[in-house]
Amino acid sequence: MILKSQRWNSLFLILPALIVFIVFFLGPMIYLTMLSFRPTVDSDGWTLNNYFHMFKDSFVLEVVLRTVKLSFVSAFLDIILAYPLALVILRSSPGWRAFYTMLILSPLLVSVVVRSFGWMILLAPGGFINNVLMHFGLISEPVKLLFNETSVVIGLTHIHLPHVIIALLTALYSMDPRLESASASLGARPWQTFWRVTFPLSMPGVLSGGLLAFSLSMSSFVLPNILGGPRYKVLAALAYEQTVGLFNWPFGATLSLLLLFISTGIVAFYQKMSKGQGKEAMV
Amino acid sequence: MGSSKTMTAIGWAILLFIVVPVAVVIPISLTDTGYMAFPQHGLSFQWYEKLMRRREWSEALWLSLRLGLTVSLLSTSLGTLIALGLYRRRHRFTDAFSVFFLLPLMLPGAVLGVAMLVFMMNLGLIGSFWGLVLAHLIITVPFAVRMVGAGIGDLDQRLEDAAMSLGATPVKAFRSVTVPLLMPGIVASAAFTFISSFDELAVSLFLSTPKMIPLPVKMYGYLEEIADPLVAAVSTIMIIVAALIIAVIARTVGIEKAFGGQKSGARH
Repeated sequence: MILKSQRWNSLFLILPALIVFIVFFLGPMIYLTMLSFRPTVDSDGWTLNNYFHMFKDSFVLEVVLRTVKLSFVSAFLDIILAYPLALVILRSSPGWRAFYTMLILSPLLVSVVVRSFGWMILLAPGGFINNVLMHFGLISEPVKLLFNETSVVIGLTHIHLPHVIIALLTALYSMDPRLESASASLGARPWQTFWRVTFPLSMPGVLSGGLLAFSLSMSSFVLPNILGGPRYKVLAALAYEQTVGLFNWPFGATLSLLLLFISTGIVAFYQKMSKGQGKEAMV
Repeated sequence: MGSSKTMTAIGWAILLFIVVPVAVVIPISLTDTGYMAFPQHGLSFQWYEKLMRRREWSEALWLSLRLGLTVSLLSTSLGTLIALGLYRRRHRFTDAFSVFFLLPLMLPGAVLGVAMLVFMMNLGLIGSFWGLVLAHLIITVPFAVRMVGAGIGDLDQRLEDAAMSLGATPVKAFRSVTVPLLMPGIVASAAFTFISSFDELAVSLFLSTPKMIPLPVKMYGYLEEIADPLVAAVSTIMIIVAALIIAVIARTVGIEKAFGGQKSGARH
């Protein structure tokens, strides 16, 4: 039972934050949406031209397809890399679990610019990977690893891997370990147990982790800009360029709404499909 | 699947893949050469000395520290108020407002960046310290709510009631029962919101002007032109700051709980 006055007291506490959020979060988002229907920044008229322009522009289409492809590939790689490590963590003692988790999550507190720079060092022509390959005689001269699609995919896979591991672990922890032992005691070989018990049960984690990686990769532009070089553009970078570089705010606003739609829309769709379960994963 | 030794080896290889690209900047920052040699020859602190002597870098570091501390203080205060207002006694607005305050976490940094840029330009907040503070608040308050809120979830309301039934005034019951129980969440939130602001790049990139350049933006701009061991020295400093923050979080709510929601810390 809550007294009415207590409810009002509660709402009074959130008032400062509410004002800040309405003015500086809702305000900008509404203004952004309005801008996308304006012919120019200063005009009062309404138009759909920005949207027509966006859908007709073959360069925009090319960038969107590239970003979707990059995000899909890196999300796929993330699942492949996350799975074995998640299994190792699942089967280790509590002490090791804590150690592994710490090691996996720590890079998330280091700025993305530092992590991108780390990959520059590793992938550069005179960098670590080229040196190792040359040392073992696998290549005779440095190969170009940096400033192309490969380096962007590697970088995106790397920065989102911790999130996917945690998503998988959440699913694996909630699995009843007795199911695996039951399968084994009924004569299943370890790989049979894996493919017919463990993996199907971890599907929600695979899906939510993969979608998360996809949506995070769709929205990133700092790492693709650093590791892809100046000419390699992703959707978010295009929105940045239009707004900051070319001052074409209405078109920049339209592009960022497209980005919002693709990156968040897909996740929202998934959540609708798998009611309730995805909600926790996002918040 | 396979022997457990093979699995562990594969697991460690993947762990190295996660950690090495971050750790590699530390040896590079200590190189005695003028370029990024790895593996390297001798040790030297020359790049740290160069860094100290360049005013634009110390200004960027100072700005990021001030920004981080201001954001941490304000964000944790707002987050604590929200958590108390929404979760201490759940009411019919709890769910709706929870979603609203967590919403910025779900938006791409570039979308928030464009929106904040065009909006704040009209208000004349671009190029001001407080413009950056407000933008960072929108990004960090969700973390603060979650971290302090997690503590309130564990908090037994009956403890405060018991204190009051034993004669404590509501204010005293709050101060001597609720606050100490919330403290770990508040400290973790202060640490986490600080590092989120200190690391923030995507949104800051839209809002910074030549006179107002936070450290990550400065690094990003520098990297676009030259990549020398100087950036490695700055990176190492940022890693040390992150390590301190990790220590604080590990000792309060635990690093795993801090990342309970998966979208945390991923804004670029």
